[in-house]
Amino acid sequence: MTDLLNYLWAAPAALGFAMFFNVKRRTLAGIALLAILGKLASGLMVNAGATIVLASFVAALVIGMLAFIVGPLTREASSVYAFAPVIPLIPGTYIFTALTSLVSALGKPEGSAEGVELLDAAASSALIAAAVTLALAVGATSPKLLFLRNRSD
Amino acid sequence: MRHTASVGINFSELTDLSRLSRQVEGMSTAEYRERLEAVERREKRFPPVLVMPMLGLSCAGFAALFGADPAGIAIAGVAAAVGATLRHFLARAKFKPFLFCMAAAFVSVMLVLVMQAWTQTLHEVLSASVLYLVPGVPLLNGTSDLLNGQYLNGVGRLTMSTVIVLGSAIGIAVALLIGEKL
Repeated sequence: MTDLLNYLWAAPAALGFAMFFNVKRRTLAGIALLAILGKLASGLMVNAGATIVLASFVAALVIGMLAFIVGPLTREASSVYAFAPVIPLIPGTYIFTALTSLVSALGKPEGSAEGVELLDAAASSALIAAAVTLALAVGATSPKLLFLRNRSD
Repeated sequence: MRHTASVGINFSELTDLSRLSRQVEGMSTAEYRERLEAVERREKRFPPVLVMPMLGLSCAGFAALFGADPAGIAIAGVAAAVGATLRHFLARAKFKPFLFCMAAAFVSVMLVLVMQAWTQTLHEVLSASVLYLVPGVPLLNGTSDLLNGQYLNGVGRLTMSTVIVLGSAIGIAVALLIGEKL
């Protein structure tokens, strides 16, 4: 239960960014709801044994699809609802580990075991971070790819 | 070639323009121009005194999602809010993103390191405290551009994201070196 409650933190995480992106005030509730839904979807999938990449893709896809429906209904651009709720899914710890391991490796002697270990950690974290980010972007924008094929924008 | 001004992210304006684009058929040029200017005049933003603490709360939320302890959540929030405020003022003073992201990341990480005694989850707190710098919109838009065949736009936006992340990384690294955490 406390685990489930922890997902509620996705709402403030998305809302800060939503306000930074200057969305209209009446869209904030919907954005918070989508953020919690997305984080819940990815969290439950990871707990069920899915990889973080797949879980992030599905969560972003859910957010993107719902945004594509809610946007036109409320006469908003769909990306208003698609972007901010995806932000809490960004793999922050992986990005951070990749960056810091890489910088640490810079300071180690060439070919040393320690340096190789750090590079290894940096590469695997960076790979996951990049894959998750790509999965988020493709998931969130896939309604456009699927349904707006003739539009040039 | 013409330069466009850097306008920042503004989804309200995006919605207004998107609505206008659906009504434009049959509109005279004069009326269209008038409507465009109306959108520009309507410019309304959340006040920075509200947005900066909210960005702090965002990063507190990230810390919680990463599994930080309560003190760590608070530390991440404060460090991010201060960093975001610094970024706001440096951006307003027309510094380039590379520079203001470096400075903001440095300050946020330093603040976390100063308060590190209160938390058992330093790694999670450090990761969360700089996430307000993640260029989410250009990352998502740039990828969407590439997938939709808008290669020039896409590469531009993704390159912009890369520069921002690089600047932030340098700021983080310098702070961690000073704090002897690397």
